[in-house]
Amino acid sequence: MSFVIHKRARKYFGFQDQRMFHSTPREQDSGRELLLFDAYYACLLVGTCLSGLGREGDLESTYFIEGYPEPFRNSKEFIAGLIVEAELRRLDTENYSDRDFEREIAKLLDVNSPTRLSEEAGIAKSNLYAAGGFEFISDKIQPKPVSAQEFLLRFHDFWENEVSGK
Amino acid sequence: MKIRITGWRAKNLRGYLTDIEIDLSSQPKRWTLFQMPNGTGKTTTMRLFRDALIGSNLSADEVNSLKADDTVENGFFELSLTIDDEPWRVEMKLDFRTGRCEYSRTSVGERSGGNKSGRLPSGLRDTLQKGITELFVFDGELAAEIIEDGASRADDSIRALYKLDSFKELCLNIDAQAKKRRNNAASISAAATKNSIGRFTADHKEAEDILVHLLRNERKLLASKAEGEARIDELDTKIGDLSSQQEQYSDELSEIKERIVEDRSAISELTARSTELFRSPPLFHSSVRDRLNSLGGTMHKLKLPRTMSEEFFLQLAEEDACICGREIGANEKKTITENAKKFLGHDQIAVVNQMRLALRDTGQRSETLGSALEQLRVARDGLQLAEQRKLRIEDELEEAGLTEIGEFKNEKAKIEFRLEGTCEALHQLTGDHFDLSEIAWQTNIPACRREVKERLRKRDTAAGTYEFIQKADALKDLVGNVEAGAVSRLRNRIKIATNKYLKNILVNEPLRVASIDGRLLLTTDGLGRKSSVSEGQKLAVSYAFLTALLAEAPHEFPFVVDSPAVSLDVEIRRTVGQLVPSLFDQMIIFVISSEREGFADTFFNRSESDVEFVTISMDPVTGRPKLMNGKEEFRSFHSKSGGSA
Repeated sequence: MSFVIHKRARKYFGFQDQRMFHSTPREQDSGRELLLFDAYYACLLVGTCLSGLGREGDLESTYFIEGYPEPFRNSKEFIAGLIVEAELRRLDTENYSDRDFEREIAKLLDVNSPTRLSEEAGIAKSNLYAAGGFEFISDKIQPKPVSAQEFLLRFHDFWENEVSGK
Repeated sequence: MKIRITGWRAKNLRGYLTDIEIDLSSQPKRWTLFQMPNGTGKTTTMRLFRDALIGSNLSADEVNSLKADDTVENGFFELSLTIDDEPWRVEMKLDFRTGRCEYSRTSVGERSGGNKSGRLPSGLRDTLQKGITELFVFDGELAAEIIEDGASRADDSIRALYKLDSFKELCLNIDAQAKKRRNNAASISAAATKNSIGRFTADHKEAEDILVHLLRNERKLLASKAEGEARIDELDTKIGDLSSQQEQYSDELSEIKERIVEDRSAISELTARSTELFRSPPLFHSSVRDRLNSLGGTMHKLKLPRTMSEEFFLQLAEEDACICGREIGANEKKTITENAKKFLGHDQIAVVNQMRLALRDTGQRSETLGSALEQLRVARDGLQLAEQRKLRIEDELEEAGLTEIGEFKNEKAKIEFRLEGTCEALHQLTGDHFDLSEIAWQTNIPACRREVKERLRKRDTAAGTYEFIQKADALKDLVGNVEAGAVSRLRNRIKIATNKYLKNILVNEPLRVASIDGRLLLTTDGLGRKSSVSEGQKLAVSYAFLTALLAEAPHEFPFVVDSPAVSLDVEIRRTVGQLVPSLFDQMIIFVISSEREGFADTFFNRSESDVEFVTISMDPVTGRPKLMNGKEEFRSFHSKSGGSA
């Protein structure tokens, strides 16, 4: 199992013909186009920040990418850290012992994995946080963005107004 | 040949021709003026004169259009004339039931003798062919056709009157003789010779067919070239007009377009930079960085990792006994190893530590996503403003009708491209290429002509008629040259004579004939072409041309004219009235009462022995024509009879 995105995410982000926001003109340098993983990552940011786990049943049946794409290679520890931080925060609300916390964190991380996340627990949790984040984004950012530039601007505004303060 | 009209009779035809007999005597006066109201039969009389002289084949509709009313079943028209002082009569019997017209002629002279059915003899009809008769029994439409664009009426008239078509007939005769000679040669040759003649004839035919095909292609290409060039001229004019108007907008528009390009490039750059920052969680937003920073603190708060790490238990499982002294058997070993996973290992802690190190590194970067997006926002707003400004300018351009310039330029470029191809094809087709080995005669007109000639030579040589054909061709060339010379000299001579008459008719106007080329080309300054003239000027030019033509014609004709002055100014009428009559030995003039002033009245002072005045009106009681001779009746007949209509 690797990264799996929310069932409605492709449509929301206009992903078609291997392009995000496909109706916009292509960039001359295709390396500048946003990736589907960018959408996943944005959803993960929101999901982990708001500790919002999505439902297993909302995920697509198969993964869209195995491991991080090249532009995210340097962010692997941060992403793993975000998930751990979110989990610690989430579990802090329950009656967990210190041993329980340690046990949960140990399940998430796997230093031998290129993503630094264990396949069974870490990535599964990542997918659920991303699904939860997508629900929030698709609910709040309407009408849906139609270009990379517009998405970045509106997502940042949305973060400032709707996410970071909560 | 000298022709005079001596009278006419008619029965059961339209207007006054319902029952009339006009006798101008065997020695008609030089000028006879018929004054009649409009709609009483002037045009019909003119037409019947022409039909009788030419011997026209009339259709049933044409015959029926002549009948007086629906009660009559037949009618007739008889024209009396003298030809070289011999009296002739041509009768047209019109049967309105069958719609037929039969001609018969009577002559007491040597040429014909007695009453015979049929038209005038062909020798006479040749002189009185349509093109000539329409000149002296003057057809009003001729006036327009003489100077009309694309018409060849002026040349046709010259050709008809001077019988220049006989040159063409001569050439046809030469061709017929050549053909006859070839056929004879072929028929008397031996079988072997016949075969070779047949082969050469087929070869020649093949080359001729290809030449026809090539000439057709040339016509198509020339038409396409002319069309393309005309369109380019048209587009150049439009582009020129629009360009000068567009200049005022162009500076502003190019500046704004430059700005748009710059803004778009900046936006693309800033979007790429923003994406890069977005992809790094601590650079995405300070709140995310804070969360990551807090992770170390949280671990500490939870006392993680504990003193006993995963590695501690894994090492313990390898020992034989625990530190408490209890023995570690296989079961204990398995349980300790499995439970060791519940404790964080050093390497897992290393993940968190690596993150903290990376976090410290990113903290060195002063740039954040927020600041990059702020620049992106400014650039985007700038682009929006620039695009709005561009739209406004384009709206203004459209309102001023200037946006089509681009389309015109595109169309011009396309046509020029096509034209280049057409010119290239024409060059291939018509160019007399020096190196003919590179070009097949089937694709090039000069080469094909040479091939046709060569094959004809072979054929004629085989038939033994080569020399004869050469001579026939030389004769045809000679006839052609004589004809061209004759046309050229006659055109010039008639142009000079026409201008002499015009100078007298249009005293105060500089309108002259510049040249004759199918039609009359007019000028007012001897240089530039004048394409639009008034009705009066048109008539004046045609009278001048006709008088020039007929005055020098090889035969003497009467001049019959209908309403000659109705569209002329009074002053010009007077000049025409004084000038034209002196040019003809017999004139029959149909006028309406409004033409008395300025035109007909110029005849009042002429000798009575030379002028006959006839007034014809329709008796309102009997409905029959009333004929009145004499100047007084003519002078007093006025508009109460509808004569000025």
